Amino acid sequence: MRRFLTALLLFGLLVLVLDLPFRWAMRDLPDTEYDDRLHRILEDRLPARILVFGSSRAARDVMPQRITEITGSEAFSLGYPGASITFQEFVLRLVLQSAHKPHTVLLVVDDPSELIGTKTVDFRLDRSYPLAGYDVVNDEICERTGKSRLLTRLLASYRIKESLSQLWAPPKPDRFDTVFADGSMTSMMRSAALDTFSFQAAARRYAIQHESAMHRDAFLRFVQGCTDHGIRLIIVHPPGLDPPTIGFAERIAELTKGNAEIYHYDTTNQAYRDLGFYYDAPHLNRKGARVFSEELAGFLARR
Amino acid sequence: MEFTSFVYALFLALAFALYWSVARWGARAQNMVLLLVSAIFYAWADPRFLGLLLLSGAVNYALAIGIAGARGERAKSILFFLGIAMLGLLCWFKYFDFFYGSAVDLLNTIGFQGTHSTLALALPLGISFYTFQMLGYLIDTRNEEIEPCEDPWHFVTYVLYFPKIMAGPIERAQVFLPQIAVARTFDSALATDGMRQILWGLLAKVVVADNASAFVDLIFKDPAAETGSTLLVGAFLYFIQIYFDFAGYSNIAIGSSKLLGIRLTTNFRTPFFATGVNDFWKRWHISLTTWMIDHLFTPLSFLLRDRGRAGTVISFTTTFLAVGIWHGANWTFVAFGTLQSLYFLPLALSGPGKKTSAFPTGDRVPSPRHFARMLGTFLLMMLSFVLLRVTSIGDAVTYYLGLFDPSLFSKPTVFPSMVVLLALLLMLVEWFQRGMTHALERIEAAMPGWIRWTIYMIILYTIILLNHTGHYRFIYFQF
Repeated sequence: MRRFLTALLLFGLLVLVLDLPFRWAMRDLPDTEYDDRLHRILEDRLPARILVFGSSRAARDVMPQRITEITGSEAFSLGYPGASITFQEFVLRLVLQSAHKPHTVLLVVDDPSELIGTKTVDFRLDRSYPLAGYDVVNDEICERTGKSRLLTRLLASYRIKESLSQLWAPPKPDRFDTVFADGSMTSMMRSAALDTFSFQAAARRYAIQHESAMHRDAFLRFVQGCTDHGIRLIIVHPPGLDPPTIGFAERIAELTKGNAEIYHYDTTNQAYRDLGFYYDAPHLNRKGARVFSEELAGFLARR
Repeated sequence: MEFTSFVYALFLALAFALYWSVARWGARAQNMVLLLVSAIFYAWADPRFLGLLLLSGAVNYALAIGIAGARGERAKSILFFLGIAMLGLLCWFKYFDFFYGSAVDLLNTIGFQGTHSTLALALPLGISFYTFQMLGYLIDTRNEEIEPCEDPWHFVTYVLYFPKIMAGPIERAQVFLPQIAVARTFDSALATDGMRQILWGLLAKVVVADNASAFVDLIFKDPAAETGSTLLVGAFLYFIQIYFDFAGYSNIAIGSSKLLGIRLTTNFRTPFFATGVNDFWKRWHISLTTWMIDHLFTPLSFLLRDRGRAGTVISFTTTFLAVGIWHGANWTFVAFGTLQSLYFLPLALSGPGKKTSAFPTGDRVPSPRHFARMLGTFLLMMLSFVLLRVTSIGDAVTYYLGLFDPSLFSKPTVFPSMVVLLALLLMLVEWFQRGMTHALERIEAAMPGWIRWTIYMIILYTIILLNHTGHYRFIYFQF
């Protein structure tokens, strides 16, 4: 028995020794990220007073730089294409734990998938994995994926395995993923889908029964988080070429229970009916984003 | 608490420490520890059914003693059927909804109005395994092949023993009970072999099976939308997934048990290298197939011995249908059993003289004839296992029609080369170790210590770095 246990102990020690290089690698991994926004939050290097949250519609439709110029308060975008409200709520939690808390949060909502969730919006694990060296991020990854939290504490190799290859092949931004200094990801491109686009007159009706409890709970926590920290929360309905879903805005307003202001884009502005201001039907291009951001900034400045 | 979880590793370490620390007080103390940790293990997964499991264990213990002590055939038969009824109650959990739904469908087809309603009962974990285990115990007692267990604690330990409770092996009482009747002394070689077997099982499960499962889920989600070649990849991936998943589980179970000084039945013997359908079933889920042969096929064949080949066909068809439906309550499992029977038909009709020969263990490379047989068996079984993955007969038809489509010769849209490579690598290792109970069994005698440890480290870090992030349960837990 003693021989068996000694061998087992030695084996365990050897495993820990071999894990040391992974522990060192864990510290370098965040630097391989071209999109360092999460890293900046974790390192308390994001002093912006106005933060923009949301998925691709936040990233592409809002130019925080224009908001900064008009309002005088530094704005920054934390919009992540393909990010569900679950991810956005996690990012908000990171922000609320940091030394710099914003005074205003703009949450750009996806009509109609905000509370429903689709294949294209999810928790951005890919953006989280390289930051697994931070306990708070690691714990969230474990929660989402079923990874053993205990084992991640013990073995760095297990903790960073998903992003390890980034050390020798750092990801490069493609034309959609260029993050500007203000955190936005606006684009001057035009999708081929616009060539065949035609305006639809009939709008769909929002189906509450399709909502996911996970997304709805995350949304409610998002609102509550802002309320608890005295942050002004503005729910933003951005422009789009498709008609808004009937009942969606009302549903969002109902869930905020008066704890957020609602901003709906100016439907009288003819620019939003001009295809030249869009990348594709749901997303503005940089020209459109500038118009919409000025409109938003005006709203912020007025109130 | 699954075998692949870190919590299980801690649990096993604690169970190991507690178990061997009471060894000086003899078998009873060791069995009490086994019973305690097994109850915790089962309750951890689903505490609702621990009472049911203990109760059915107690009833079967009493029935077996009653069967052995009863005077006359009549008393024995009554007790035997009471036992069957008890176990039938457990089957109620698994098959009621299926049979009721099928009966309603049948009534509706012939013009009566039946209403679908299900009990939607939660399925007690491991029910298929421990039900068969206890049923086998009663039958063997009835047939006077074994003496009933006199010690109730031994018997409950046999029923509840944690390494096998969730998904087998379906352990025979005559193999298990004598081992726990005496005090166990620590066997370093056996424990070390157990650790190696766990390591190999983990590699198979978390690296190959779990990584394959993501692609299998993708392909089986909508077979109608996939090309024939992609469906072929899906069938291949599912076949390797289910093998490495269940063989991996079995290796971890058997390895865990070796740490406690108890040997469990080998459940797999490199089935991918089978040279015929009959050979395959001698290598796949061995504890189930031997159970079926001993308790169903053999008695049936004996009963139908005067009917010649027709009797043989009826016997194995019934046996395979039972194997199929053992997997679950769905017509796809019935179809699986039927297909296996059809595979067996030529063999049964060709008579007892026609037997396929297994490939000799000592040879490194198979002859072209053996290779062709292995490949043919692999393809036949691979296609049949699709039925264990699809959720309805309609889906199965869609899958097979899509598979044998001209697009079979197109480039597959999904081909996880890394998973296929890893699977082939493990199969290659198993090929060279195919006479062994697991791939690392012979390593101690074959290699010096530092090479062995290097191999262990490589395997361990492959497990750590290449395991699939996400939670995948063992497939056979659902059966």
